[in-house]
Amino acid sequence: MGNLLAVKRHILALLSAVALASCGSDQPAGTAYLTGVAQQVLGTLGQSGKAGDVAAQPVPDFALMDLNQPLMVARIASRNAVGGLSVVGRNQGFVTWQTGDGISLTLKSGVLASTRGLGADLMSADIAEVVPAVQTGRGTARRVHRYLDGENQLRPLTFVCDIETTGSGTINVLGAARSTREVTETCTSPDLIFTNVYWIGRDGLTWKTRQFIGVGLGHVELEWAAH
Amino acid sequence: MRVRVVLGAIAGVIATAPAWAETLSFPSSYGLYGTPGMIDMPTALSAPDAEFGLTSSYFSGQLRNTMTFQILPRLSGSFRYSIIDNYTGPGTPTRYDRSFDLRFRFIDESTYRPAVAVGFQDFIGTGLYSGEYIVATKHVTPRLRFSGGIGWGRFGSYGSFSNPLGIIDDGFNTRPTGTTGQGGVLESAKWFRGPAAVFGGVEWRATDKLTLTAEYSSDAYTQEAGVAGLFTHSMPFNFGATYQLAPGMQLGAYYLYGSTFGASLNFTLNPKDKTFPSGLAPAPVPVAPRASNPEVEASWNLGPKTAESARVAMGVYFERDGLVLDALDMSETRAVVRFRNMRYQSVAMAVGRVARILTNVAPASVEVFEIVPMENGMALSSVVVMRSDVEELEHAPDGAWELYSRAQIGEAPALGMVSFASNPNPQPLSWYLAPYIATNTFDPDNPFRFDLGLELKARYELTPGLFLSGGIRKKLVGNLDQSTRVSNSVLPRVRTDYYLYDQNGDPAINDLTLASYFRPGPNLYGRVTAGYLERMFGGVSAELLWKPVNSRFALGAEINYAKQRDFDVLFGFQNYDVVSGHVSGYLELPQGFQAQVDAGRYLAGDWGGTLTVERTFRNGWRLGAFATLTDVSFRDFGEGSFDKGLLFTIPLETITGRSSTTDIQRTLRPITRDGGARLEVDGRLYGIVRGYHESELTDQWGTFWR
Repeated sequence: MGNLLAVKRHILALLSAVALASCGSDQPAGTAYLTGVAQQVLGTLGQSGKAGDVAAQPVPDFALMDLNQPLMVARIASRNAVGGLSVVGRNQGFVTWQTGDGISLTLKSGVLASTRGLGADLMSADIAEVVPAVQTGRGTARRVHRYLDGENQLRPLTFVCDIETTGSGTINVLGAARSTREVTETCTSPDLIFTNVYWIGRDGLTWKTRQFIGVGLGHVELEWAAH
Repeated sequence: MRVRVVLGAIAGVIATAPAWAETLSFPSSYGLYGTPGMIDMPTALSAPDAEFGLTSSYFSGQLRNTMTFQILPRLSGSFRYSIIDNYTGPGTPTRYDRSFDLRFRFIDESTYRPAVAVGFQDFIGTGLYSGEYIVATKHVTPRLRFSGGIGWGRFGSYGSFSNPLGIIDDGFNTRPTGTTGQGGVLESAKWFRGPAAVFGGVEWRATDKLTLTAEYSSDAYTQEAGVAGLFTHSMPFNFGATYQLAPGMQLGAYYLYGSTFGASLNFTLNPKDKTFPSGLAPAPVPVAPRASNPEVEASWNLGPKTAESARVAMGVYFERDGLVLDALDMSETRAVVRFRNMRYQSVAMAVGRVARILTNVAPASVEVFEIVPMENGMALSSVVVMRSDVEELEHAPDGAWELYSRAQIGEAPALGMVSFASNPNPQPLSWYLAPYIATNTFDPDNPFRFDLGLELKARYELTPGLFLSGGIRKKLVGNLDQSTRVSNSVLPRVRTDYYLYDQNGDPAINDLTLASYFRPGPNLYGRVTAGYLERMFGGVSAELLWKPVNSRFALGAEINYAKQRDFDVLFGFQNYDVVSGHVSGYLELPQGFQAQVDAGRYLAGDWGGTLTVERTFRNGWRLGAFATLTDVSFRDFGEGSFDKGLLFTIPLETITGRSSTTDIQRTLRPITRDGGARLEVDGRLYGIVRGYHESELTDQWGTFWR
């Protein structure tokens, strides 16, 4: 398989070179087509990374900074990506956070409601029952995720989630020690099981969490420097 | 009512899902013929709906390149281009052959019943590979399946017996030979005639990637083994292994007829899939609800100065999102925005972004947003949404459909409306300089000729709706000019002189036109194009289209005066000229099918009609076929009897994930002749208008909040 991937890389590099040889304000169909078809046929490279690399990337010590603005750090292991996000929108309790390169995550009370710009986005999540259960640290909740399929149709996936408090203690969040309780949400559907974990401070705010986005992207890990 | 019944019947066939659970079966391999099959013999299985399979196979001097499309869950069609050495004996010329197949699975597999299919291989034209079969396939375990069938023609050439259908009629006992007329027509007189034979085999899925196959073939290879001497047919058994190299990529290796080896490589892709289902476009500007945003609650002075500042503020948001603000008309309670979408394949997604931008800049008193997408200077539809709905549903679990149910999609407001904040086009010039590849396939002397060169294309918007555009090509390398097949056409040579254009057109002014687009009235769209319209013709083309936004039916008319261009593809003209034109009807059928009928006069002065049927996918893919019959006789038309071909439209965005409005469009004709040829004028109206109307907006509405 390694050799095959190497061949694919060479073909794509060659086609990309052809595509880059063009210039102008418009996208010429022919060369972009070749690159595109090659990607479709050979699979897309560069979208997967090693999970270990993420942990190795240094994160600035936010506790030492004077933070006037809410700031969140997101890591997506499957994309080998780490980024800082700031608040760009608030609507009915939903807070939209965005990176400088146009990826956004929307949360309500620390529970992920949607993503944008990731290629296999969580388009919406019905978390009306999840939010109060996570806040109280126990309960059962119904959760509905919606994803776009290849034909631009929204496909709902329904989960039944068990929420329980699984621990408490002081954890390190971006260099700051935070006293939190750990709430675990286990969601099942006929085809899929996933687990979300929330670390909630005494102030009722979620300071750290690990949540499922979708099958293609896996989990996102979020930590807050300031709310 | 009759139409409705027929449509219902079609829908019924399509909606029938296979009863056999997928977990109890395993996916079909593609065989040497590039159709779902064992090795040389077919099975009753179908590929997944809409799958597109590209297969190249080779053994003993025979190369077969096949494209198979699963047209419907039960119906597949294949187009094959084969190259066979020494076809009529050692040392004789190579034979190039095009063939079409159809297969229909009429019984689904169930616990005790096999799947059963009927197939017609190479059923049009010369029929080198022609054969019919009825085949049954049954899984006995989730990893083991058997297939067996009875075949005629090629599939009835080894171990054959007299045709059982001879009981019905003696006519079934003999299979006619030769080709009807000029070829290219259905050879139905041969179907299920002549000797029959049985075939069969077993497939074992050894691992999730490796499948091993053994078959008994009823093909004697009378021509290839017997006459051409390409290999020795020493036994009727074939053995093969297929391996999945990567998802959508299969490699096959075979031991064939007791004497030779073969190999195949297959790629599959499905128009229903996208590399990145939600695309890689950056996140949208979030909704700014009035309740929590004091900035937008500021009172609004409707003076021109404030409108101007709103327009400037909007322009910044629009540019960031790849949109162009054409005009903004704002009253106390209503904002009308005319805009151009330069970035997104989905118009609904662009409309969703405009709605969100408006919540950020419109004064609090404005409650109604009317969003009007424009292309080529024409306002194409109108989407009216309530601002409070946009605020309420941004994060609602089913927000896209809730908003759809409250939105109104209709005819665009007349362009004459007062717009006090009209935006000049910030980028009137668009252009590119890029490599191009021009190909000439299926030339019997050399099946794949091509030119590689540089192409400069530019388009300048003089005033809204008036475009000056052109394209110049300079060849760098290639062999298109080496074609020496002098046209033998008895018709005016409107297309078959293509090789003279290839030989003399370097550099070539492919097209150079002035085009005007306009809205003559409600539901009406107009176009006039003048200049060098295409490589072989220049002149004037005028078109009118009637298409209500909420209608699945459209009617168009086009009239052209065209004069044949000089072979050097520069400024001169030859003597031949013609008035051509069509009346066209367009109908959206259920399940994404689209039919188009054109009736009128073609370039060679012939009168007739074209039927085009396309399967359209909600992400913009379109795959179809067309056929044209005119008053030119099959004999006068020449090889192929009448004009026909396949159509492909592939939105770039579905492949790369990057936002783009670019579509790749290709037409594949088995042969180019002069009858039934249409002028190739750029920017015909239906293709522009359709994407902005209700059915496509609805199909893509799931991307409104993307």
